[in-house]
Amino acid sequence: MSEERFSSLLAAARAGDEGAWEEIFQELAPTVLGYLRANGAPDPEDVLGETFLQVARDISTFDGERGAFRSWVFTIAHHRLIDARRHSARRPVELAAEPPEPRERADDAAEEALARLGRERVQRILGSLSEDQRVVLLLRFVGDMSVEDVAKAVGKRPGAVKALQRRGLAAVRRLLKSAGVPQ
Amino acid sequence: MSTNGASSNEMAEAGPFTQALRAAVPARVDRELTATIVPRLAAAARLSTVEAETRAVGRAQTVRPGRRALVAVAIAVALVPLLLAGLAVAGVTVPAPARDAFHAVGISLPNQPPKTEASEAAGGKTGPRGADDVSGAAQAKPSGGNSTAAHQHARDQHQKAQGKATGHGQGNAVGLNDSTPPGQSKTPPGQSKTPHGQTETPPGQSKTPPGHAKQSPAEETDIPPGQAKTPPGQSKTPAGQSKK
Repeated sequence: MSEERFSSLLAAARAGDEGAWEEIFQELAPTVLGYLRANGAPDPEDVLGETFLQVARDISTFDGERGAFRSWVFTIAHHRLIDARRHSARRPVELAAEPPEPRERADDAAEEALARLGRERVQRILGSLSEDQRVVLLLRFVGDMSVEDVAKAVGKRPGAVKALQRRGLAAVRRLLKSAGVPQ
Repeated sequence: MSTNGASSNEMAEAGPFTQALRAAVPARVDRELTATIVPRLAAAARLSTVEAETRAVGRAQTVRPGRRALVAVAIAVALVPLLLAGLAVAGVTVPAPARDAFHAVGISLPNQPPKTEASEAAGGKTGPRGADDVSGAAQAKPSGGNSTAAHQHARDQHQKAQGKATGHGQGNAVGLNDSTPPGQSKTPPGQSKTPHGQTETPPGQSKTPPGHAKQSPAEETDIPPGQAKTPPGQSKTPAGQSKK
């Protein structure tokens, strides 16, 4: 989607156009839902709804391009995830027992990589990471957020986010090596 | 995707995992959820935009109370001359600076003493007040509003006091005439108008024979000869007050 197209979509969404909102929701909701599930949100669909409702309530205050909008939506999703966890009787984080149902095919490279690793293994590796590492890796590689944006979203300094990413990737490498997955 | 935060080697080693992550994480969203939430999102956005516009208008209007205060002050300042003019019309002697301000713009306030008297009144505040102090008479009845009557009354008092005092057998009442305050004389201490040892009238005598008071023509018909309106040694004006 070009920036011009995104600008007109944003203007229509601000005006309350349902078509614009449907397009935005279908573009971002699957990734946000996956992020919530991967982080063990108590009721991922419910948190997804709250996330997008807040996006709609605050859309008049947003000003930026497409990438910034995606980062903004993921930041809201992360905050709603934390709130949902607080309200869910402080249950320990339980990653989704069943792997999420895939949406449309991702790009070929991603599909190839997933086919090689296996969806279940990816879920297992994610679950073995510390919560901070998992959040940082998901926001960086699924949310496509910059280190600075992730730092703002999780309330840490960029240096801390970089360190978490490095340690998380190192843990992933160790786990893949121990599983005998060729690098 | 930015590689910020990780070296290219680290990214290359974890590359398959991060690629797989992108394919593994996104989940299919229930169509029913989409159909339910999209109208709510549109409505919430509409409401939010309207509220934002209302807030913007409200913020612009919050500047107005300051302007309103300025207008109120300006109106109050403009009302001061009107108030003074109104007081003057009602017979109140307005302060000299205010009168001067009106004179400066060519407006003469009604019911005000002449400028000389006004300046004397302003300068002689420490001295005794005369019987013709119109402002005092007028101000003595602030609620009555009968300033013309008060003015006339004061003038009558003045004329009566003047007439009695000059013709009184015992001489001038203390502090009554010639603007000489009590205990002061016009001549320096130790000097008199007449040469030393001489007096204009012998001691114990007045200019007029005893029992004959000098009367004004108007009063001659009213008062029998040998009688004065006021007892000897008294005048109608209180002691300590004299004509200016």
